[in-house]
Amino acid sequence: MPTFATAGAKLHRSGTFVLRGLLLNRRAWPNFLSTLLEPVILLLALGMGMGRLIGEVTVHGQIMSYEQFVAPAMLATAAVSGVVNETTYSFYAKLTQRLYEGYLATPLTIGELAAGETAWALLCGGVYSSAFLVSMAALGLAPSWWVLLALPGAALISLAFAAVSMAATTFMRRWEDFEQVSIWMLVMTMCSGTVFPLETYPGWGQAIVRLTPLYQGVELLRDLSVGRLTSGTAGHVCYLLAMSVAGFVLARRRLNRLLAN
Amino acid sequence: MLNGTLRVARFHLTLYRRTWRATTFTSFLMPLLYLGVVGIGAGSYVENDVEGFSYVQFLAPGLLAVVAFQTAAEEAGFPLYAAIRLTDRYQRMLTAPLSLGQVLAGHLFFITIRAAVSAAVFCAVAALLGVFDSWLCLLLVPVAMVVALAAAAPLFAFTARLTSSANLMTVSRLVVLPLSMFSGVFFPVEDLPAAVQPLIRISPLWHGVELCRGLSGAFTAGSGTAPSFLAGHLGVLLLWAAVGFALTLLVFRRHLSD
Repeated sequence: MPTFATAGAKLHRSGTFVLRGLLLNRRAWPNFLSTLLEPVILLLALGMGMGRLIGEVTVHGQIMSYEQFVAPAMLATAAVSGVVNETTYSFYAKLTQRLYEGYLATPLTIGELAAGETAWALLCGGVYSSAFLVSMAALGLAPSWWVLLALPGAALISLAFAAVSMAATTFMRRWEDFEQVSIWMLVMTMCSGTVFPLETYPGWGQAIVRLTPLYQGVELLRDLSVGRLTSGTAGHVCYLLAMSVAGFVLARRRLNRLLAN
Repeated sequence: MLNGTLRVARFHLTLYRRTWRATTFTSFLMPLLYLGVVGIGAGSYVENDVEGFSYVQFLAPGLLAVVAFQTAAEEAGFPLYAAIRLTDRYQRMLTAPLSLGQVLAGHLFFITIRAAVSAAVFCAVAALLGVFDSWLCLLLVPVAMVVALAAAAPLFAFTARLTSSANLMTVSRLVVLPLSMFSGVFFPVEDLPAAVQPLIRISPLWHGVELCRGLSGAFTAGSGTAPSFLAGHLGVLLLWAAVGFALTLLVFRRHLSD
Protein backbone atom coordinates (compact mmCIF):
# COMPACT_ATOMS: atom_id res chain seq x y z
CA MET A 1 0.00 0.00 0.00
CA PRO A 2 1.53 3.32 -1.03
CA THR A 3 2.33 5.64 1.83
CA PHE A 4 3.01 9.34 1.83
CA ALA A 5 6.70 8.60 1.86
CA THR A 6 6.61 6.57 -1.36
CA ALA A 7 4.34 9.13 -3.04
CA GLY A 8 6.85 11.79 -2.10
CA ALA A 9 9.68 9.74 -3.56
CA LYS A 10 7.70 9.21 -6.77
CA LEU A 11 7.08 12.94 -7.07
CA HIS A 12 10.72 13.63 -6.37
CA ARG A 13 11.89 11.23 -9.09
CA SER A 14 9.49 12.67 -11.67
CA GLY A 15 10.45 16.17 -10.61
CA THR A 16 14.04 15.43 -11.53
CA PHE A 17 13.03 15.69 -15.20
CA VAL A 18 11.82 19.25 -14.69
CA LEU A 19 15.06 20.12 -12.94
CA ARG A 20 17.08 18.52 -15.73
CA GLY A 21 15.18 20.52 -18.35
CA LEU A 22 15.70 23.76 -16.47
CA LEU A 23 19.40 23.14 -16.04
CA LEU A 24 19.96 22.17 -19.66
CA ASN A 25 17.95 25.06 -21.06
CA ARG A 26 19.15 27.85 -18.81
CA ARG A 27 21.01 29.44 -21.68
CA ALA A 28 18.37 28.74 -24.34
CA TRP A 29 16.21 31.81 -23.76
CA PRO A 30 16.98 33.53 -27.11
CA ASN A 31 15.63 30.42 -28.79
CA PHE A 32 12.64 30.55 -26.46
CA LEU A 33 11.90 34.18 -27.33
CA SER A 34 12.09 33.53 -31.05
CA THR A 35 9.73 30.54 -30.77
CA LEU A 36 7.27 32.71 -28.88
CA LEU A 37 7.45 35.29 -31.62
CA GLU A 38 5.80 32.97 -34.12
CA PRO A 39 2.24 33.00 -32.72
CA VAL A 40 2.61 36.69 -31.88
CA ILE A 41 3.53 37.49 -35.49
CA LEU A 42 0.60 35.42 -36.75
CA LEU A 43 -1.68 37.29 -34.36
CA LEU A 44 -0.36 40.66 -35.55
CA ALA A 45 -0.51 39.81 -39.25
CA LEU A 46 -3.62 37.69 -39.50
CA GLY A 47 -5.50 39.10 -36.53
CA MET A 48 -4.78 42.80 -36.63
CA GLY A 49 -3.62 43.20 -40.24
CA MET A 50 -6.44 41.26 -41.80
CA GLY A 51 -8.73 42.47 -39.03
CA ARG A 52 -8.75 45.88 -40.70
CA LEU A 53 -9.97 44.32 -43.94
CA ILE A 54 -12.48 41.99 -42.33
CA GLY A 55 -13.85 44.04 -39.46
CA GLU A 56 -16.29 41.85 -37.59
CA VAL A 57 -17.25 38.20 -37.76
CA THR A 58 -20.24 36.36 -36.34
CA VAL A 59 -19.34 33.20 -34.45
CA HIS A 60 -22.07 31.05 -32.89
CA GLY A 61 -24.40 34.02 -33.16
CA GLN A 62 -22.00 36.40 -31.42
CA ILE A 63 -20.48 39.38 -33.15
CA MET A 64 -16.83 40.07 -32.40
CA SER A 65 -13.89 41.82 -33.99
CA TYR A 66 -11.73 39.59 -36.16
CA GLU A 67 -8.66 39.96 -33.94
CA GLN A 68 -10.68 38.94 -30.89
CA PHE A 69 -11.70 35.89 -32.87
CA VAL A 70 -8.13 34.96 -33.81
CA ALA A 71 -6.40 35.70 -30.47
CA PRO A 72 -7.66 32.67 -28.44
CA ALA A 73 -6.87 30.44 -31.42
CA MET A 74 -3.27 31.62 -31.44
CA LEU A 75 -3.10 31.13 -27.67
CA ALA A 76 -4.15 27.51 -28.18
CA THR A 77 -1.51 27.18 -30.91
CA ALA A 78 1.15 28.57 -28.55
CA ALA A 79 0.08 26.07 -25.88
CA VAL A 80 0.54 23.26 -28.40
CA SER A 81 3.80 24.39 -29.97
CA GLY A 82 5.26 24.92 -26.48
CA VAL A 83 4.99 21.20 -25.73
CA VAL A 84 5.40 19.65 -29.15
CA ASN A 85 9.14 20.41 -29.42
CA GLU A 86 9.91 18.75 -26.10
CA THR A 87 7.72 15.71 -26.70
CA THR A 88 8.73 15.01 -30.28
CA TYR A 89 12.28 15.90 -31.44
CA SER A 90 13.80 16.21 -28.02
CA PHE A 91 12.03 13.13 -26.64
CA TYR A 92 12.98 11.09 -29.70
CA ALA A 93 16.61 12.12 -29.33
CA LYS A 94 16.62 10.96 -25.71
CA LEU A 95 14.97 7.68 -26.70
CA THR A 96 17.37 6.89 -29.51
CA GLN A 97 20.48 8.05 -27.67
CA ARG A 98 19.62 5.52 -24.98
CA LEU A 99 19.60 8.13 -22.28
CA TYR A 100 16.66 6.46 -20.56
CA GLU A 101 18.38 3.09 -20.23
CA GLY A 102 20.75 4.74 -17.82
CA TYR A 103 17.95 6.43 -15.91
CA LEU A 104 16.09 3.15 -15.51
CA ALA A 105 19.09 1.58 -13.79
CA THR A 106 18.07 3.76 -10.84
CA PRO A 107 14.86 3.19 -8.82
CA LEU A 108 12.99 5.26 -11.46
CA THR A 109 9.96 3.50 -12.98
CA ILE A 110 8.70 3.95 -16.52
CA GLY A 111 5.50 5.56 -15.27
CA GLU A 112 7.55 8.14 -13.36
CA LEU A 113 9.66 8.73 -16.45
CA ALA A 114 6.59 9.41 -18.60
CA ALA A 115 5.10 11.62 -15.89
CA GLY A 116 8.36 13.51 -15.47
CA GLU A 117 8.76 14.22 -19.18
CA THR A 118 5.11 15.30 -19.36
CA ALA A 119 5.63 17.65 -16.42
CA TRP A 120 8.66 19.23 -18.07
CA ALA A 121 6.77 19.69 -21.36
CA LEU A 122 3.85 21.18 -19.43
CA LEU A 123 6.14 23.71 -17.81
CA CYS A 124 7.41 24.77 -21.27
CA GLY A 125 3.85 24.98 -22.57
CA GLY A 126 2.80 26.99 -19.53
CA VAL A 127 5.59 29.50 -20.00
CA TYR A 128 4.71 29.95 -23.69
CA SER A 129 0.99 30.31 -23.00
CA SER A 130 1.56 32.86 -20.22
CA ALA A 131 3.99 34.86 -22.33
CA PHE A 132 1.54 34.85 -25.21
CA LEU A 133 -1.29 35.92 -22.94
CA VAL A 134 0.82 38.87 -21.78
CA SER A 135 1.43 39.85 -25.44
CA MET A 136 -2.31 39.57 -26.09
CA ALA A 137 -3.03 41.89 -23.18
CA ALA A 138 -0.33 44.31 -24.38
CA LEU A 139 -2.08 44.44 -27.75
CA GLY A 140 -5.36 45.26 -26.04
CA LEU A 141 -6.93 41.89 -26.80
CA ALA A 142 -7.72 40.93 -23.22
CA PRO A 143 -11.16 42.45 -22.68
CA SER A 144 -11.53 41.43 -19.02
CA TRP A 145 -9.93 39.52 -16.18
CA TRP A 146 -11.83 36.45 -17.38
CA VAL A 147 -8.96 36.02 -19.80
CA LEU A 148 -6.88 34.60 -16.93
CA LEU A 149 -9.23 31.63 -16.93
CA ALA A 150 -7.77 30.78 -20.33
CA LEU A 151 -4.47 29.83 -18.67
CA PRO A 152 -5.67 26.62 -17.03
CA GLY A 153 -7.47 25.92 -20.31
CA ALA A 154 -4.20 26.33 -22.18
CA ALA A 155 -2.50 24.03 -19.67
CA LEU A 156 -5.10 21.36 -20.38
CA ILE A 157 -4.45 21.73 -24.12
CA SER A 158 -0.71 21.42 -23.46
CA LEU A 159 -1.29 18.29 -21.38
CA ALA A 160 -3.45 16.60 -24.01
CA PHE A 161 -1.01 17.35 -26.82
CA ALA A 162 2.05 16.44 -24.74
CA ALA A 163 0.58 13.02 -23.90
CA VAL A 164 -0.51 12.23 -27.44
CA SER A 165 2.66 13.44 -29.12
CA MET A 166 4.77 11.47 -26.65
CA ALA A 167 2.78 8.38 -27.55
CA ALA A 168 3.14 9.19 -31.26
CA THR A 169 6.90 9.69 -30.91
CA THR A 170 7.32 6.14 -29.60
CA PHE A 171 6.10 4.95 -33.01
CA MET A 172 8.60 7.02 -35.00
CA ARG A 173 11.32 5.00 -36.68
CA ARG A 174 13.58 7.65 -38.17
CA TRP A 175 14.12 11.40 -38.07
CA GLU A 176 12.45 11.88 -41.44
CA ASP A 177 9.15 10.74 -39.91
CA PHE A 178 9.02 14.03 -38.03
CA GLU A 179 8.42 15.90 -41.25
CA GLN A 180 4.84 14.74 -40.82
CA VAL A 181 4.74 16.55 -37.48
CA SER A 182 5.42 19.99 -38.91
CA ILE A 183 3.04 19.38 -41.81
CA TRP A 184 0.15 18.36 -39.55
CA MET A 185 0.91 21.11 -37.09
CA LEU A 186 0.55 23.75 -39.79
CA VAL A 187 -2.55 22.21 -41.36
CA MET A 188 -4.13 21.95 -37.92
CA THR A 189 -3.13 25.49 -36.98
CA MET A 190 -4.70 26.91 -40.12
CA CYS A 191 -7.83 24.80 -40.48
CA SER A 192 -9.25 24.20 -36.98
CA GLY A 193 -11.65 27.13 -36.98
CA THR A 194 -8.69 29.33 -36.13
CA VAL A 195 -8.33 31.77 -39.01
CA PHE A 196 -11.94 31.68 -40.17
CA PRO A 197 -15.11 30.55 -38.38
CA LEU A 198 -16.24 26.94 -38.55
CA GLU A 199 -19.46 28.03 -40.26
CA THR A 200 -17.45 28.78 -43.42
CA TYR A 201 -17.02 25.04 -44.08
CA PRO A 202 -19.70 22.97 -45.77
CA GLY A 203 -21.67 20.70 -43.38
CA TRP A 204 -19.47 17.63 -43.72
CA GLY A 205 -16.31 19.71 -43.32
CA GLN A 206 -17.70 21.18 -40.10
CA ALA A 207 -18.34 17.68 -38.76
CA ILE A 208 -14.71 16.69 -39.41
CA VAL A 209 -13.20 19.85 -37.95
CA ARG A 210 -15.33 19.53 -34.81
CA LEU A 211 -13.62 16.22 -34.07
CA THR A 212 -10.07 17.62 -34.21
CA PRO A 213 -8.30 18.24 -30.90
CA LEU A 214 -7.12 21.76 -31.72
CA TYR A 215 -10.66 22.83 -32.58
CA GLN A 216 -11.79 21.55 -29.17
CA GLY A 217 -8.96 23.48 -27.52
CA VAL A 218 -9.61 26.67 -29.46
CA GLU A 219 -13.32 26.60 -28.62
CA LEU A 220 -12.51 25.96 -24.96
CA LEU A 221 -10.27 29.03 -24.86
CA ARG A 222 -12.86 31.14 -26.73
CA ASP A 223 -15.38 30.24 -24.01
CA LEU A 224 -13.02 30.65 -21.06
CA SER A 225 -11.47 33.93 -22.20
CA VAL A 226 -14.85 35.69 -22.02
CA GLY A 227 -16.15 33.72 -19.02
CA ARG A 228 -18.90 31.95 -20.97
CA LEU A 229 -19.32 28.57 -19.32
CA THR A 230 -21.80 26.21 -20.94
CA SER A 231 -22.28 22.47 -21.33
CA GLY A 232 -20.23 22.83 -24.52
CA THR A 233 -17.31 24.07 -22.42
CA ALA A 234 -17.56 20.97 -20.25
CA GLY A 235 -17.62 18.87 -23.40
CA HIS A 236 -14.35 20.38 -24.60
CA VAL A 237 -12.76 19.78 -21.19
CA CYS A 238 -13.87 16.12 -21.21
CA TYR A 239 -12.54 15.63 -24.75
CA LEU A 240 -9.11 17.01 -23.80
CA LEU A 241 -9.00 15.06 -20.52
CA ALA A 242 -9.82 11.83 -22.34
CA MET A 243 -7.11 12.63 -24.88
CA SER A 244 -4.59 13.22 -22.08
CA VAL A 245 -5.39 9.95 -20.33
CA ALA A 246 -5.43 7.91 -23.53
CA GLY A 247 -2.15 9.46 -24.70
CA PHE A 248 -0.47 8.91 -21.35
CA VAL A 249 -1.57 5.29 -21.02
CA LEU A 250 -0.47 4.50 -24.55
CA ALA A 251 2.87 6.29 -24.10
CA ARG A 252 3.56 4.35 -20.91
CA ARG A 253 2.69 1.05 -22.53
CA ARG A 254 4.89 1.73 -25.54
CA LEU A 255 7.78 2.90 -23.36
CA ASN A 256 7.43 -0.28 -21.30
CA ARG A 257 7.88 -2.29 -24.46
CA LEU A 258 10.72 -0.15 -25.85
CA LEU A 259 12.73 0.19 -22.65
CA ALA A 260 11.86 -2.91 -20.64
CA ASN A 261 14.95 -4.92 -21.43
CA MET B 1 32.98 31.86 -66.39
CA LEU B 2 29.62 30.69 -67.70
CA ASN B 3 30.65 27.11 -68.26
CA GLY B 4 31.84 26.64 -64.68
CA THR B 5 28.70 28.29 -63.29
CA LEU B 6 26.48 25.94 -65.29
CA ARG B 7 28.44 22.94 -64.10
CA VAL B 8 27.94 23.94 -60.47
CA ALA B 9 24.23 24.52 -61.10
CA ARG B 10 23.98 21.12 -62.73
CA PHE B 11 25.61 19.54 -59.69
CA HIS B 12 22.94 21.04 -57.43
CA LEU B 13 20.16 20.02 -59.82
CA THR B 14 21.43 16.43 -59.89
CA LEU B 15 21.24 16.33 -56.11
CA TYR B 16 17.82 17.98 -56.11
CA ARG B 17 16.45 15.34 -58.48
CA ARG B 18 16.99 12.88 -55.61
CA THR B 19 15.87 15.05 -52.72
CA TRP B 20 13.01 17.20 -54.06
CA ARG B 21 10.40 15.11 -52.27
CA ALA B 22 11.59 16.51 -48.93
CA THR B 23 10.72 20.02 -50.15
CA THR B 24 7.22 19.16 -51.41
CA PHE B 25 5.55 20.65 -48.40
CA THR B 26 7.38 23.98 -48.10
CA SER B 27 7.68 24.58 -51.84
CA PHE B 28 4.35 23.39 -53.16
CA LEU B 29 1.75 22.63 -50.49
CA MET B 30 2.31 25.42 -47.96
CA PRO B 31 1.64 28.30 -50.38
CA LEU B 32 -1.49 26.55 -51.60
CA LEU B 33 -2.61 25.99 -48.00
CA TYR B 34 -2.26 29.73 -47.37
CA LEU B 35 -4.10 30.49 -50.60
CA GLY B 36 -6.98 28.25 -49.54
CA VAL B 37 -7.16 29.08 -45.84
CA VAL B 38 -6.39 32.80 -45.84
CA GLY B 39 -7.36 33.70 -49.41
CA ILE B 40 -10.53 31.70 -49.86
CA GLY B 41 -11.46 30.92 -46.22
CA ALA B 42 -10.79 34.15 -44.36
CA GLY B 43 -10.98 36.12 -47.63
CA SER B 44 -14.68 35.31 -47.90
CA TYR B 45 -15.18 37.67 -44.94
CA VAL B 46 -13.43 40.59 -46.67
CA GLU B 47 -16.31 42.57 -48.09
CA ASN B 48 -14.60 45.39 -49.98
CA ASP B 49 -12.07 45.13 -52.76
CA VAL B 50 -8.46 45.58 -51.69
CA GLU B 51 -6.54 47.92 -54.01
CA GLY B 52 -9.06 47.07 -56.72
CA PHE B 53 -8.81 43.28 -56.36
CA SER B 54 -11.03 40.73 -54.71
CA TYR B 55 -9.16 39.50 -51.62
CA VAL B 56 -7.99 36.20 -53.06
CA GLN B 57 -6.81 37.94 -56.23
CA PHE B 58 -5.00 40.46 -54.05
CA LEU B 59 -3.33 37.66 -52.07
CA ALA B 60 -2.29 35.27 -54.85
CA PRO B 61 0.42 37.37 -56.57
CA GLY B 62 1.84 38.25 -53.15
CA LEU B 63 2.01 34.58 -52.20
CA LEU B 64 3.83 33.90 -55.45
CA ALA B 65 6.57 36.30 -54.35
CA VAL B 66 6.61 34.65 -50.89
CA VAL B 67 7.11 31.23 -52.49
CA ALA B 68 10.24 32.53 -54.22
CA PHE B 69 11.42 34.35 -51.10
CA GLN B 70 11.02 31.33 -48.83
CA THR B 71 12.63 28.96 -51.31
CA ALA B 72 15.63 31.29 -51.37
CA ALA B 73 15.71 31.57 -47.58
CA GLU B 74 15.50 27.80 -47.20
CA GLU B 75 18.42 27.15 -49.56
CA ALA B 76 20.51 30.00 -48.14
CA GLY B 77 20.03 28.58 -44.64
CA PHE B 78 21.03 25.12 -43.53
CA PRO B 79 22.04 23.69 -46.94
CA LEU B 80 24.56 26.50 -47.44
CA TYR B 81 25.76 26.31 -43.84
CA ALA B 82 26.30 22.57 -44.20
CA ALA B 83 28.11 23.02 -47.49
CA ILE B 84 30.69 25.40 -46.02
CA ARG B 85 30.95 24.29 -42.37
CA LEU B 86 29.96 20.64 -42.10
CA THR B 87 30.63 18.77 -45.35
CA ASP B 88 33.17 21.24 -46.79
CA ARG B 89 31.48 20.85 -50.16
CA TYR B 90 32.36 24.40 -51.17
CA GLN B 91 36.00 23.98 -50.22
CA ARG B 92 36.13 20.77 -52.24
CA MET B 93 34.52 22.39 -55.27
CA LEU B 94 37.19 25.05 -55.11
CA THR B 95 39.92 22.46 -55.55
CA ALA B 96 38.47 21.93 -59.04
CA PRO B 97 39.26 24.55 -61.69
CA LEU B 98 36.35 26.69 -60.50
CA SER B 99 36.49 30.23 -59.16
CA LEU B 100 34.67 31.27 -56.00
CA GLY B 101 32.42 33.45 -58.14
CA GLN B 102 31.44 30.46 -60.26
CA VAL B 103 30.66 28.28 -57.24
CA LEU B 104 28.45 31.01 -55.79
CA ALA B 105 26.78 31.95 -59.05
CA GLY B 106 26.07 28.31 -59.83
CA HIS B 107 24.41 27.80 -56.45
CA LEU B 108 22.35 30.98 -56.88
CA PHE B 109 21.35 29.94 -60.38
CA PHE B 110 20.11 26.62 -59.00
CA ILE B 111 18.05 28.51 -56.40
CA THR B 112 16.37 30.60 -59.09
CA ILE B 113 15.48 27.41 -60.96
CA ARG B 114 13.96 25.92 -57.81
CA ALA B 115 11.98 29.13 -57.27
CA ALA B 116 10.80 29.02 -60.86
CA VAL B 117 9.49 25.47 -60.50
CA SER B 118 7.64 26.27 -57.26
CA ALA B 119 6.24 29.47 -58.72
CA ALA B 120 5.07 27.74 -61.88
CA VAL B 121 3.26 25.04 -59.89
CA PHE B 122 1.61 27.70 -57.74
CA CYS B 123 0.54 29.73 -60.79
CA ALA B 124 -0.85 26.68 -62.54
CA VAL B 125 -2.93 25.61 -59.54
CA ALA B 126 -4.13 29.17 -58.91
CA ALA B 127 -5.11 29.49 -62.57
CA LEU B 128 -6.97 26.16 -62.45
CA LEU B 129 -8.82 27.36 -59.35
CA GLY B 130 -9.77 30.49 -61.27
CA VAL B 131 -7.85 32.79 -58.91
CA PHE B 132 -5.82 34.10 -61.83
CA ASP B 133 -8.12 34.93 -64.74
CA SER B 134 -5.55 34.20 -67.38
CA TRP B 135 -2.70 31.80 -68.05
CA LEU B 136 -0.62 34.89 -68.67
CA CYS B 137 0.06 34.66 -64.94
CA LEU B 138 2.82 32.19 -65.88
CA LEU B 139 4.73 35.28 -67.06
CA LEU B 140 5.16 36.04 -63.35
CA VAL B 141 7.56 33.10 -63.04
CA PRO B 142 10.61 35.11 -64.21
CA VAL B 143 9.73 37.77 -61.64
CA ALA B 144 9.74 35.08 -58.96
CA MET B 145 13.22 34.09 -60.10
CA VAL B 146 14.49 37.65 -59.67
CA VAL B 147 12.92 37.81 -56.18
CA ALA B 148 14.65 34.56 -55.23
CA LEU B 149 17.98 35.94 -56.42
CA ALA B 150 17.52 39.24 -54.59
CA ALA B 151 16.70 37.39 -51.35
CA ALA B 152 19.25 34.60 -51.60
CA ALA B 153 22.33 36.72 -52.33
CA PRO B 154 22.27 38.84 -49.13
CA LEU B 155 21.23 35.83 -47.02
CA PHE B 156 24.25 33.96 -48.42
CA ALA B 157 26.49 36.69 -47.02
CA PHE B 158 24.83 36.31 -43.63
CA THR B 159 25.03 32.51 -43.49
CA ALA B 160 28.64 32.54 -44.65
CA ARG B 161 29.61 34.45 -41.53
CA LEU B 162 27.94 32.03 -39.10
CA THR B 163 30.03 29.67 -37.04
CA SER B 164 27.12 27.90 -35.35
CA SER B 165 23.92 26.61 -36.90
CA ALA B 166 21.84 27.73 -33.90
CA ASN B 167 21.46 31.21 -35.37
CA LEU B 168 19.89 29.89 -38.56
CA MET B 169 16.61 29.21 -36.75
CA THR B 170 16.69 32.72 -35.34
CA VAL B 171 17.03 34.20 -38.83
CA SER B 172 14.10 32.24 -40.12
CA ARG B 173 11.95 33.39 -37.20
CA LEU B 174 13.18 36.97 -36.83
CA VAL B 175 13.67 37.87 -40.49
CA VAL B 176 11.99 35.45 -42.88
CA LEU B 177 8.69 34.97 -41.04
CA PRO B 178 8.05 38.66 -40.17
CA LEU B 179 8.94 39.78 -43.69
CA SER B 180 6.66 37.11 -45.17
CA MET B 181 3.78 38.25 -43.00
CA PHE B 182 4.20 42.04 -43.18
CA SER B 183 5.45 42.78 -46.72
CA GLY B 184 2.05 43.67 -48.07
CA VAL B 185 1.19 40.08 -48.94
CA PHE B 186 -1.80 39.64 -46.64
CA PHE B 187 -2.81 43.27 -46.23
CA PRO B 188 -1.58 46.59 -47.67
CA VAL B 189 1.61 48.01 -46.17
CA GLU B 190 -0.29 51.25 -45.54
CA ASP B 191 -2.14 49.49 -42.71
CA LEU B 192 1.11 49.01 -40.79
CA PRO B 193 2.32 51.58 -38.23
CA ALA B 194 4.03 54.46 -40.04
CA ALA B 195 7.36 53.77 -38.32
CA VAL B 196 7.60 50.24 -39.75
CA GLN B 197 6.59 51.07 -43.32
CA PRO B 198 9.97 52.41 -44.55
CA LEU B 199 11.69 49.26 -43.22
CA ILE B 200 9.32 47.02 -45.13
CA ARG B 201 9.69 49.08 -48.30
CA ILE B 202 13.41 48.30 -48.33
CA SER B 203 12.92 44.54 -48.30
CA PRO B 204 13.27 42.66 -51.58
CA LEU B 205 10.08 40.76 -50.81
CA TRP B 206 7.96 43.93 -50.78
CA HIS B 207 9.30 44.96 -54.20
CA GLY B 208 8.59 41.47 -55.47
CA VAL B 209 5.04 41.57 -54.10
CA GLU B 210 4.37 44.96 -55.70
CA LEU B 211 5.81 43.81 -59.00
CA CYS B 212 3.81 40.56 -59.09
CA ARG B 213 0.58 42.30 -58.09
CA GLY B 214 1.03 45.13 -60.57
CA LEU B 215 1.75 42.72 -63.39
CA SER B 216 -1.09 40.37 -62.46
CA GLY B 217 -3.45 43.37 -62.60
CA ALA B 218 -2.07 44.19 -66.02
CA PHE B 219 -2.50 40.63 -67.27
CA THR B 220 -5.96 40.04 -65.90
CA ALA B 221 -7.64 43.44 -65.98
CA GLY B 222 -5.51 45.04 -68.67
CA SER B 223 -4.90 47.98 -66.37
CA GLY B 224 -1.42 48.47 -67.81
CA THR B 225 1.79 49.08 -65.90
CA ALA B 226 4.02 52.10 -66.23
CA PRO B 227 7.58 51.37 -67.40
CA SER B 228 8.86 53.42 -64.47
CA PHE B 229 6.98 51.11 -62.06
CA LEU B 230 8.58 48.04 -63.60
CA ALA B 231 12.04 49.59 -63.80
CA GLY B 232 11.92 50.92 -60.24
CA HIS B 233 11.03 47.64 -58.56
CA LEU B 234 13.19 45.49 -60.81
CA GLY B 235 16.08 47.91 -60.24
CA VAL B 236 15.85 47.57 -56.45
CA LEU B 237 15.67 43.78 -56.72
CA LEU B 238 18.72 43.63 -58.97
CA LEU B 239 20.55 46.01 -56.65
CA TRP B 240 19.87 43.66 -53.72
CA ALA B 241 21.16 40.77 -55.79
CA ALA B 242 24.33 42.62 -56.86
CA VAL B 243 25.15 43.99 -53.40
CA GLY B 244 24.42 40.62 -51.80
CA PHE B 245 26.64 38.83 -54.29
CA ALA B 246 29.51 41.25 -53.76
CA LEU B 247 29.18 40.99 -49.97
CA THR B 248 29.10 37.21 -50.14
CA LEU B 249 32.27 37.16 -52.21
CA LEU B 250 33.91 39.43 -49.66
CA VAL B 251 32.85 37.30 -46.70
CA PHE B 252 33.94 34.11 -48.41
CA ARG B 253 37.33 35.50 -49.34
CA ARG B 254 37.86 36.40 -45.70
CA HIS B 255 36.43 33.33 -43.95
CA LEU B 256 36.63 30.46 -46.37
CA SER B 257 40.29 30.78 -47.24
CA ASP B 258 41.48 29.73 -43.79
